[in-house]
Amino acid sequence: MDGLKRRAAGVMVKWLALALLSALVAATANAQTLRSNLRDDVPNVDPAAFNGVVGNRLLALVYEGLTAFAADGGVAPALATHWETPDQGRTWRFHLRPGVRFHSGRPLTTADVEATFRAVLKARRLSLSAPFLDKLVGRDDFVSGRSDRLSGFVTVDSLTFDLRFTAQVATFPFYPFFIFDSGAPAQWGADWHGKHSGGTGPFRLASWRRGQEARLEANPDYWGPRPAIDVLRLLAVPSVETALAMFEAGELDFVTVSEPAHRLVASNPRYRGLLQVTPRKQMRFIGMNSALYPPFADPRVRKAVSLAIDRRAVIDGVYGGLAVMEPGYGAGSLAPDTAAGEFPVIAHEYDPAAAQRLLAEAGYPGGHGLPPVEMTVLDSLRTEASYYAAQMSAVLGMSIKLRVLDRAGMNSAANAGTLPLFAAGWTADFPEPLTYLEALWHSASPFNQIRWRDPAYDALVDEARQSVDDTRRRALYRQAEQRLSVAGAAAMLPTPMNILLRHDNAKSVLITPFGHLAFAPRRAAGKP
Amino acid sequence: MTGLATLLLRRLLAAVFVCVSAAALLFLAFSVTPGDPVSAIYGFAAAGQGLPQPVWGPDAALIPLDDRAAQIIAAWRAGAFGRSFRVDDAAVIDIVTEALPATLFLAAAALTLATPLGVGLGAAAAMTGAGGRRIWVTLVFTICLSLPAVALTAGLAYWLAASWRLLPTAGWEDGWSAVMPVIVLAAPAVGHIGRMTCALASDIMPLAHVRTARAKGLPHWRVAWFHVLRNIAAPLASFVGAVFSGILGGTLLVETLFAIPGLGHETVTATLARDFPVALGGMLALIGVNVAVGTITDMMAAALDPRGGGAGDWRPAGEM
Repeated sequence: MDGLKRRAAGVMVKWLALALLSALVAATANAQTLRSNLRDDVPNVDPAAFNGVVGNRLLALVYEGLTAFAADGGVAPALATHWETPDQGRTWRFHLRPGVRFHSGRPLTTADVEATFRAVLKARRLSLSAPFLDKLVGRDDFVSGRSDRLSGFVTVDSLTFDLRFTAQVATFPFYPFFIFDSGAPAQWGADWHGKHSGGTGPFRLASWRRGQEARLEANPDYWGPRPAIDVLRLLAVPSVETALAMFEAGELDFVTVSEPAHRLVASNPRYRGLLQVTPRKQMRFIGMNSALYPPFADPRVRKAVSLAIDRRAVIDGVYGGLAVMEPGYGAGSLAPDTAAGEFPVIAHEYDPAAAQRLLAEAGYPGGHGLPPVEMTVLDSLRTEASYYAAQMSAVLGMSIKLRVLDRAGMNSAANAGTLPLFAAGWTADFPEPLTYLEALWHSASPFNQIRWRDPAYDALVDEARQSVDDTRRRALYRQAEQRLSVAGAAAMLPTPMNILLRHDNAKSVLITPFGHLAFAPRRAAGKP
Repeated sequence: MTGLATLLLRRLLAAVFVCVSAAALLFLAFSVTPGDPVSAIYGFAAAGQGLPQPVWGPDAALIPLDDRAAQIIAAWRAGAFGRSFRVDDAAVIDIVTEALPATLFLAAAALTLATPLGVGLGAAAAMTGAGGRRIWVTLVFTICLSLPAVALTAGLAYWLAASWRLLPTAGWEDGWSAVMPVIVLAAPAVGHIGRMTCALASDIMPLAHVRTARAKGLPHWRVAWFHVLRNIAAPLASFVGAVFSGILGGTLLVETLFAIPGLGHETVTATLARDFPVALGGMLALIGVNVAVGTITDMMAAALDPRGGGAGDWRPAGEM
């Protein structure tokens, strides 16, 4: 009898094991894995360091900030549920979301936020978030080594902290950060980020092979809505043509399409129905540096350049219709939907007759008297820039020589301010008009590539930066944008849209206006 | 010292000279290339940050151009060839050694495919003599030489991957990932080797010993192998070494097209990113491989030369 019982038990154990195994296999088989491309090599995955545009979008799936970009513009609560300022932006108090855990299982506390800020400021490689902490009290002493603590970061309790600034910083809640697990370096060493996942995001970094693949797995303990997929494999595919070929072969489930392929994708009937497009939060313009080319000092010449460009032709001819011409200088595009209507429509018109008239009024009828000028552009904008140069020659009689540089050469020349005429762009770092209005046109901004100088404009932007009142701040933005328009600061250009090609199994994936991948509905602004 | 040993010594000395010259030329080229490493890495975010430009060594400090040579030599003496500007804390030697195997595999596989194919077709064309079959073979060689790698890649990807789903389009997952890149690399090599074989063999065909062998009724393959190819093996071996350099150069494009993490792609990426240490290290590694293969094939040519010694005018075996 005992032997029979033992045999029966043995059989039951075997059947149970088989059932469990089948369930595991079924679960694994049902686990959805999506594959997509990374269009550039990601040199590192350190959340405190500079990762590049592509790296930034990868890490945005693994790490989160205090706030997140809301779908309707503005910011929504993320790791912070709410925040307030008792003194018009000189101090900000943040309340962290309770119950959030890092991928390691450790709970999120204020110590992690402080550790992140310290790492950002001391990163060997410049962090895009470092400038956001420029006005934090104690920042200079900490960076220089005179102090080993950030005196402006004040811990109230494990989920509450204050940030004290040397001046009013009204827009601090809009700034993005990647908050990481402060216990990660101690547990895994200084280079933990390449081998371990230290974020709180909807995905954990399962593995990263530089130049080959990043594998992300859904975070089962995510505090928000879980993504609709289980595994995301991002394969390094530098050539967009190769990525499209892989998409056609079914080896990629969705593809981020870069600009050189926009027209190809738009014109291919096979892709109709597979596209997901969103307007990109980016401004593009033709920069005119009057210090290097004196005729550009006359606003009539600058406006003539702008009026000579048929933007509709560029949208249709170069981008196959997949580009947008934002009115104004971008302020309205970054205001929340409820406030975007406050911004007057400053259209960028095509009027060759008016352009020629303005040029003649400026003393250069038919372009006579205008010295030859070199227009510098990025190699990926060669086709588009050829059109601009041709238009300026045909409509205005300007003698323009086109110089094409690769990205490194272009960045270097633009940063040095040595370009008299060039086509450039600026991607929004956060959902506030200051990301354009201050970065591109404020005289103290190092990113002001045309060296635009307007003290009255600077005063408007300075006041906006310190205005906590949303209505007042938007009014200042409107005035600033109006000054740019009257002066014809730059010839604004169409911006290509963010495009995702998706197979049916990847319909749960979206690309946001900021270029991030989204797998769940975004939260509306203001709701914890 | 034997003839081969002398040849080897000469080749090694030449190799050192080539590598040093190449390094000097690359260093000068990087120095005049527009675009600084800091702007290349950080883009517009670098503006006004006052970031020091990285130099040829682990320390980030701005030094004048004429001191950079000393920095490079110091880095080489330290054995690390410096560190990457772009990939945080990565030693150049580690990046190069990690990426090199894929490139070597592709190049070796392409050469292994192209050599027998090119030699076989070339010999067959030569033995056929002027006529229809030779024209077709010549046409194949011309197509192999003329077809751009990008076009061939697109065609193979469309038919073998997207349409028939026989092979992966890109990536480096398993052995099947190498099939299309190897074909693309091998195609022009088939053309070069085939045409050279045909030309060399055509000079041999009219000779007395070949006519005698054919008159005796020997099979074509015996005539080809023992009486034709053996006599052109020496110059052909040298030529194959030269063809290898073309294959190796082709990896820069092919690895990018097929998303293969090889040294060619790594070098291109580093050059575009102004990551000079990695670009220099990668190019020197490729040059070193090329020189090594060239030396080996020259040694083989000397060994295959029926006159021995590896020097002097070449004449076919059997020719009086």
